[in-house]
Amino acid sequence: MPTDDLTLVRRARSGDQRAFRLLVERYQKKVYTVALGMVKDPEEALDVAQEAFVKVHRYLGHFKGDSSFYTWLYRITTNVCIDVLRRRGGSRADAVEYDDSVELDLAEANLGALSSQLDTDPSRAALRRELGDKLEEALAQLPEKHRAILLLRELEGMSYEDLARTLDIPKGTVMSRLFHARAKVQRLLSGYLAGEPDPRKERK
Amino acid sequence: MTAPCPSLRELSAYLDGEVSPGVRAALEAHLSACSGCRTRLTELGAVGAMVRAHVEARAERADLSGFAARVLARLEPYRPSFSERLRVSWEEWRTHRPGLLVGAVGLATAGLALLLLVPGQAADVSERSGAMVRSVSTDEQAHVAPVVLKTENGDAIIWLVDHPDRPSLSIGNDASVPEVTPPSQPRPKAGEL
Repeated sequence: MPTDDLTLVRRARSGDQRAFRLLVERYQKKVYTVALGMVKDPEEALDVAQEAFVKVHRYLGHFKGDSSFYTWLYRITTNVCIDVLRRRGGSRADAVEYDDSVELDLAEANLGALSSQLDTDPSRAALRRELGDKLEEALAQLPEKHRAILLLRELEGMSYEDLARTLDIPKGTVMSRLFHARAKVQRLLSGYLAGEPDPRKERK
Repeated sequence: MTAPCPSLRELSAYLDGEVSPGVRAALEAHLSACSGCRTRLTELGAVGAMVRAHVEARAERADLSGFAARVLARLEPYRPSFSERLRVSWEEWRTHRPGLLVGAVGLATAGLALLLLVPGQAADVSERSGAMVRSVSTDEQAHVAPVVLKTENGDAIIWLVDHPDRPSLSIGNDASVPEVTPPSQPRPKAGEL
């Protein structure tokens, strides 16, 4: 049976590097995937993931055993990502705080376009790549904190409780940010699907 | 009369399984009657599925071999507090008592040294303690006992190993010399610290 996180953290705190290495190996893929979703560039995502683990090690002494290790790890990862994005410039994190009283809705015009894409024949890989690019564009347009919450939810399946703890926000805010993020991505993508038919088809 | 359509916020929370049982029942009753809301729900779910599929597929292309080693190479020396080390060592010792821990003593620096010597880490020992360790060995039947030294700077704990005649495991440069404490190093007394 693998040693549980808290035991490894305890050993790492006593200076046991092998225990810390096990923690890194256990979470490196997950942390990298979240970082990749946040910063997009693979090399930068590797740097971010490394930096996150270095910080985790540096602050091991501050980790309170009352929360799970992984929520703490993702909190640090998210913060490192946001720092990188802000250094990169063009941050919209604070500029685009939404008004929670406004009910956002989905793009009604092309409703269902997205879900139908999921059934697409896998051989249409080119279209999917293009869709992937559009998805990246849509993600990039989300405020960082919304992007983080969407990624943590979708990639890690974190509960609202854990998301609230990880991001240090109330559960109601978790709920709002998630649906804003989803609605915005849906609107951007279905706009693309409605407005830009596959150019290769047009040429035929 | 049909209930009004739920907000997107509610549908989103429903999708995540984060609504109360009462709300869920009401939503499901509505969804069974309203195809528009079913489509909205599917659409919200599709966003998540696409994000997941896309990011995970990209992450698959990464080569993470050597990642942990690169992280470890960047670590700053971590200096846990003495009480932390003592606490952890004690817990570990209680869990894994026999044969695993050998006392290693080397208080060359003014700092307090607590060395837990585990097979496989032998190479680090002489460097960390500053002592010339020629060989280290242990025995499964060895009696291990912590001794706490009270000093002006704090407490030091030294693991003493009562070494019987027959060593069953030897590590170090010269495996034929069954000595626990460094031969050239007198066992420190409290007054020397």
